[in-house]
Amino acid sequence: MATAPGVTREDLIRYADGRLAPERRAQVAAYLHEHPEMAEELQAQQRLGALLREGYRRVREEPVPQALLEAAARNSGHLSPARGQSLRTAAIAAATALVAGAAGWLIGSATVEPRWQEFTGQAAAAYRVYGPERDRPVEIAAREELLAWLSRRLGMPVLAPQLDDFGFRFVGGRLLPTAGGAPAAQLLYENEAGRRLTLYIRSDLRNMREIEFQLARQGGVNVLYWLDGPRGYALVSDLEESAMLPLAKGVYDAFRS
Amino acid sequence: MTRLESLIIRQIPSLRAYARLLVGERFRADDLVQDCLERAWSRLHLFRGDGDIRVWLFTIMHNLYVSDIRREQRRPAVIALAEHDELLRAPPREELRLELEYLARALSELPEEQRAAVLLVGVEDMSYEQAAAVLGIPVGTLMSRLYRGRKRLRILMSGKVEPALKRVK
Repeated sequence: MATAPGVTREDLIRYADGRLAPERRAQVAAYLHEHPEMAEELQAQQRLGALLREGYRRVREEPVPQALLEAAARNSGHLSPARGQSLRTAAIAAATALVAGAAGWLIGSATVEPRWQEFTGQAAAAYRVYGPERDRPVEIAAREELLAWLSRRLGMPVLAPQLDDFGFRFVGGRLLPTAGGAPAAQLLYENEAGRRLTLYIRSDLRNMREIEFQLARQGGVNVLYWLDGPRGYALVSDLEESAMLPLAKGVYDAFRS
Repeated sequence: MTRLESLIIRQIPSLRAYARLLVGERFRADDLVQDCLERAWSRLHLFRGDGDIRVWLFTIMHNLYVSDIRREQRRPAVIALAEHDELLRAPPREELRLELEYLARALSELPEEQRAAVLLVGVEDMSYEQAAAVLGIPVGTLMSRLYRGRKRLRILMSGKVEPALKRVK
């Protein structure tokens, strides 16, 4: 494959996967501008990638067959407690502390309780639509203006928690419709590597049992959600769940304080 | 249940989905996952506490898969991505189902090693380093398989569904 000096095959792969540092991304984008046939190839590959994720999602969201769970349970006798201890790194301990008491989701993470499906489904769909958008990921980037507007529309104080400690920078947000007609807010964050994270908020979830952090895998992305009064929060990204838990804790604390 | 067990159980949906795309048939895929879980449990003492449990499990499954196809010289069956639509809340559009069938067929025509690379990075969302570790190859080799696999897949799919695909983006 012919590439211009400087731009390698690896750069192109990383570019297509959204795993290039921003400054390098600009250089590769410039190269692709000069090589429309390569740009087209990568776009076609990305479309196939999306389709592949859709197929994968369908399998992943099937309930796990009982036989597999039983095989897991049957074998768990092999495990001595000491082995479990050795895995107790700080990150995992922190993650587990957050989900303690929600034991059900470990096994049930592939399925979401029906009454939550609309909420998590819409949060995931909004991420899939706007998360990969390079040119116009948000409607409004001005922090004060955006947050005042969203707060007014949702009838609750909407803030953009600081996630800088985790390497995520606030980019902006937008107002979204929901099936029931109530508005939802979406705030978007990005890290240095170009990975995106959105916080999806609704304020109309009355008559729902309050829940602690729950994890759902929907449409190939992780949705970490919780309910506080009538306010539902969903953190959505394609990050690993272990990376999302501390972020969710940060968001939770910000809205609680 | 200990933490390590929980971590393993939590990987089951991913292992199943990856296995299905890798080998095709549902029951063979689940057998592979079950073998993988059993092997994982019997070798848990070999797992390094600071290691990546996901990479470890996928590596076990990959090795089982490789020895399985070596033994039987089997071609993967056509992969049934659209098979379980009844489980979905909203029935998919007919054209999406068709696209998935084409894609499944194209995927099964990819060379083994390229398919694994495309799946680990593309749907499992592993880092290049993690995927290379699972396959036991250098990162450069992984990149090259990824590149060739994606291009091949695109060629296999070109002309078939291009117009409809644009809407999936």
